Amino acid sequence: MPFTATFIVLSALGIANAAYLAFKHREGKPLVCPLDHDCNAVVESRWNKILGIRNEYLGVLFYAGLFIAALVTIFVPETSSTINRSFIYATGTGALYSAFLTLIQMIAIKDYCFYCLLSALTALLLFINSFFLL
Amino acid sequence: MIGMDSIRLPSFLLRTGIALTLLYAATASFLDPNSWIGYLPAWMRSIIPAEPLLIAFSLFEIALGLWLISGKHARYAGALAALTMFGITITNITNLDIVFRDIGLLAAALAIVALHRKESPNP
Repeated sequence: MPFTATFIVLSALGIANAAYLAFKHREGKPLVCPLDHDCNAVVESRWNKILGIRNEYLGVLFYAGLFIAALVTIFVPETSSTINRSFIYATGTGALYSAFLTLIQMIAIKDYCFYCLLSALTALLLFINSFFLL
Repeated sequence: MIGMDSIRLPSFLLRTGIALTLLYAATASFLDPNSWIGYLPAWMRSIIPAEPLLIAFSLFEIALGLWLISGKHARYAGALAALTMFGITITNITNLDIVFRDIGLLAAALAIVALHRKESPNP
């Protein structure tokens, strides 16, 4: 149970982070980066979409999906073994995609977005956490 | 006075760290109330039934965690977090081997108050 709680909290952090980026984009407001880097150069770069969907919206969907699925394992315990196994694949994919985007920041954009790095860290922690749910 | 740019990252880390702690405690107490009820002070449990009291405190922790993450009026959120940590530490002082960590969280919450003592509400 403690690792279900950490999974829920990390998913909620991921939702808040991605939703903040999506909100700022919708409002057309520039991001204020706590790292003294230009977050806007990253989130408005040509790498900000996959299959026509902006990364922050994908992030909201990804973390919200994990959050809801974790709640389902609590309220419908018979689904927990299947869902917990699928968390490894889902969070592994998320962590890999986040690692790819982090490499893009390092190599192609040569600038960093604090919120994107936070999302990458969250995805990695969720991936590690998912092994403790088995 | 410290500039806003230089406090942005430390403030974010402090607020997020304390918020995650509060959100974890609240979530874990919803999932496994029996492990957490014991930390509610006995005198409080004699006035209010333990389960609703734990639910109310968990909801308070979630609200405070979200407030800290939002960054709105951070010094007040930090002050409330410091008061909460102080309350938890004092009421569980006989479990010092467990609550000694809350002294660190109390100091971190006070650091948020100090960082935001003279500036506009949003970090």
